[in-house]
Amino acid sequence: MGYPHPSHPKETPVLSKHFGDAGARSFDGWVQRGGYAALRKALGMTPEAVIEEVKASGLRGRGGAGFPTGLKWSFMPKGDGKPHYLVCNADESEPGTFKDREIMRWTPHQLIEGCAIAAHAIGAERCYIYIRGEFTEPLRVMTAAVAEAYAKGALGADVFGSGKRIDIVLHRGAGAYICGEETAMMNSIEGRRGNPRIKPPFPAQAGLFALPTTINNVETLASVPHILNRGGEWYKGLCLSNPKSTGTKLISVCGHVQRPGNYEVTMGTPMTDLIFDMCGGMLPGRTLKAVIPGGSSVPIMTAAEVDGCLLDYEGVVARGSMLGSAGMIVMDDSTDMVYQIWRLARFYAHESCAQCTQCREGTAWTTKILERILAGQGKEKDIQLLLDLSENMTGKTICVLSDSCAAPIVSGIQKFRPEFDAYLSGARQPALAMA
Amino acid sequence: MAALLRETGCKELGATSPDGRFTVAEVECLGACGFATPIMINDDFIESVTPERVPGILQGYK
Repeated sequence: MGYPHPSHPKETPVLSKHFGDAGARSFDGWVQRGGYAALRKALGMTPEAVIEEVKASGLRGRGGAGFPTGLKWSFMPKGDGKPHYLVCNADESEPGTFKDREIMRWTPHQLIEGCAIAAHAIGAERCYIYIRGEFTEPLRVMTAAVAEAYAKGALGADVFGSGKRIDIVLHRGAGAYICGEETAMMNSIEGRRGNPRIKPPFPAQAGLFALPTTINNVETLASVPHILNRGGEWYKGLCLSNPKSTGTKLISVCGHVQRPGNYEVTMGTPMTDLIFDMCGGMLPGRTLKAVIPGGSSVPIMTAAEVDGCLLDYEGVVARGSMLGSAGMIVMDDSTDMVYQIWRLARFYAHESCAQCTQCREGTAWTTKILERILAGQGKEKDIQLLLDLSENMTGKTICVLSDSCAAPIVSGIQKFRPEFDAYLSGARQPALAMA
Repeated sequence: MAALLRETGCKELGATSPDGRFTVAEVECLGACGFATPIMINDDFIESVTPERVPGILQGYK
């Protein structure tokens, strides 16, 4: 449901069915709502059968990359005699995204159950849930839920009498955006500085503590119990347009809409349905100008591109952007695009781990150039300089943080060039004073 | 922001109030874009803050 708003008829609440229902937070409350049946069922299946069911569902990673989950699990080595690890990425930090927070706040056992099933499937006895440091309430709820799950036998040395050991460790982050990148997260859990690692080796070969590891997003893991309960075929059927994107997706909408919130839609729902029906449209008297559909790291879409765009992995790519983590930032005609792009660049400059030169220098330099354009001190050649820098920031670093900074800059210049020119020519009053 | 500075008595961002109880800082992201403006006081998370709500919120921390 469109938490904190009532469910809209165009939504498909699966994950979000119990958002706002405090009774679903306890172990017994979750069992009354059908919880833990999927874990019991999974424990009676072989790990291979669980992976096959997830493969059949077409579930893809909900953290941003959209990699098929069942395939990712199948990369874990079998019979190697080494400990395996599952890491749940709950370091939700992508600007515009606030869905995992609600999953943990309202349905902690949904996530615990998903983690336990995934751990069984990949042969892991231990799962780390890495929660971002600012999520104090989700951490409190999760801590209580994990303790209860141990007390009720859903976790521990002998899960539901199956003889399987599954432990969950909650690890609290310290507030760095970069620790949401999976290899930086593994370093952080190991107690090292949160710098991304070069791949290969991929986590499935040598991940956490150099042992085989699978990293999944909160929303991905929370979807798994539903797939086990109702079958991969059912999940695959939740699809309106193309069979490569299946299931439901929680979309966090923020910005200039009447009802910001989390909306759960079937893959393939038109983006205009979401913005104009479910979210109640734009604020009074305003018109849609631009949307950043997948969290701040993806190219900006114009209103014309939004029209006719379908919300699934391929549909958003066809309109020149990416679904990413589906944190949708909606901007109306009052928005100063140059200012917004500067604000994003400043975020990336602050959050760069400074390991790679292109990112460390590029995020800071582009921020300074945008700042002087906004202060009325930009030069005509600054536009080309921004594009050149962005080119050097794309595809040339260990992780994609610098690509993420470049994407809104390049698309912003391509699509909203007159706004840059207005600052350069002096037609528009400076929005910032130079420090 | 102005309301927070005024009500705590802090002169500017990063400075501590004369009574030593408050320091106001701006942070990049608290992960709650749908419930703007969010603020965090110690470990407490408060959403949809408006300037009018600030005096009441701070009352609990004085």
